[in-house]
Amino acid sequence: MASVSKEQSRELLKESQATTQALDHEVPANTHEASTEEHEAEVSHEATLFAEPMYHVGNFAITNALVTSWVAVAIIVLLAVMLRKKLATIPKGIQNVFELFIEGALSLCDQVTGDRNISQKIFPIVSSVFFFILINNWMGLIPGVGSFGYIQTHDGHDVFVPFLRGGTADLNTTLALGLISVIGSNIFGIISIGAWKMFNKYININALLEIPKKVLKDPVVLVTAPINIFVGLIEIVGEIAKIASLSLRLFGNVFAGEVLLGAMSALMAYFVPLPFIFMEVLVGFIQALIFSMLTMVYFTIAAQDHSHDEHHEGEMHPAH
Amino acid sequence: MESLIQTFHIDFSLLFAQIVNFGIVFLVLYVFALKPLSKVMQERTKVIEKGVVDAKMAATTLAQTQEESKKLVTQAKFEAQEIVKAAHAVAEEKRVAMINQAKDQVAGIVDAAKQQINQEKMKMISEAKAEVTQLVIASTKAVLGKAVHQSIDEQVIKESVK
Repeated sequence: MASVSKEQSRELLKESQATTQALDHEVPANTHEASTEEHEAEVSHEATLFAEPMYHVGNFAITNALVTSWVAVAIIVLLAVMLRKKLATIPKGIQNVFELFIEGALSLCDQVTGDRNISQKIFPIVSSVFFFILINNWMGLIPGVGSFGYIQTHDGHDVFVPFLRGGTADLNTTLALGLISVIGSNIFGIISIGAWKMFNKYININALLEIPKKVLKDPVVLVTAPINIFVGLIEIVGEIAKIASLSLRLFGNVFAGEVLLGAMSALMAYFVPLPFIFMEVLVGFIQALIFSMLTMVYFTIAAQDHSHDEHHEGEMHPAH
Repeated sequence: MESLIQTFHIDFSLLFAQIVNFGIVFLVLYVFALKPLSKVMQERTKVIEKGVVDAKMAATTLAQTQEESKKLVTQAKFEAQEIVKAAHAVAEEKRVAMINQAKDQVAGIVDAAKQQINQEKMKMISEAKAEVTQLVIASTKAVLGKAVHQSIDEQVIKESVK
């Protein structure tokens, strides 16, 4: 499913860029009056792959996606503070919703981890990832986000720069989340099974040390140990691939969604984009769920001691 | 890699800013929402579990109490029946004793009354005899015109009174 969505998102990206470019050239922006058509035709409404900088604080560029992320953070903080204030033994309103979420999410975690203790340890970070992505995804769908902006002259061309852009429609955000997920899972692995075992997962020194011990009993170790060392190196590549897949999947889906909505709005501003907006609401939820579920899976895998299983397999092999 | 960074405008300061944003979300959610909510839910679960245990205990105690009360009521009924039986027996005994006592008393009263009647009767007879004697003497005197010898008179009188 992951590979399909990645390919789909890439294709969508290309198609959407082509579509928006064509629309920009062929159809004048229908949100403006006919009197300004000539001027509008010169303004580029092309959806960019990157978030546009709005202000600069020294060398730090505050992009429209970062502003949206701050708004998303503010919303989450507000909800959390409201919940904290209204917290009661007999739940009401927002507390009911949160409790329902926690109960459901924890049981879902249990299905993945198979252990309530691990679920409770992972749950805060997974739920934070979920809420952060969900709010950012949905923020990008709010009317006005991406459509209100200003015209900036860039290399002699007038370019429309929206004030706000969906936080997850910027690769910086999704890459940051991917890094948090993968690095966090490795830190969790170190806490759970120890630094030495986690180190050996990638650079398998144990496999090297086992060669002189086992070579007389089982000469096959001369073949298996280098394979294990190589597998460890592949794990490092795998970790990088995890970051790439997590971040690009989310970015691709959200960005493709925004481009799709933009294209549909350009075709006809009323009613036509509605089903696509509903679909994007669903996609936003599903993508947040997928990202958080994968984060949970990475954390769970990191917490499991695989060297123990390998050791057992090695012991069982000569008996057969 | 260079082209990737340029195409997507990957900026390490922005990456760091987004990591900070997520950190804030994580901390706020953990401190203000998840931790206190989990605590409240755990406390509620404990209260509910305790309530269920208490309810079970109460039900058990109630069943035991009902059983005990049934036993007590049955025992009380049995004891009451025994007491009633004993009371009946005692009452019967008392009744019989009282009837006997009453009969004895009645017999005594009757005997005393009979004795008194007899005494009265004897007294009346003797008084009547005395009066008759006096009447005989008086009538004899009146017939004979003189007094008869006392001893003869008495003998005569006695015979006449007989």
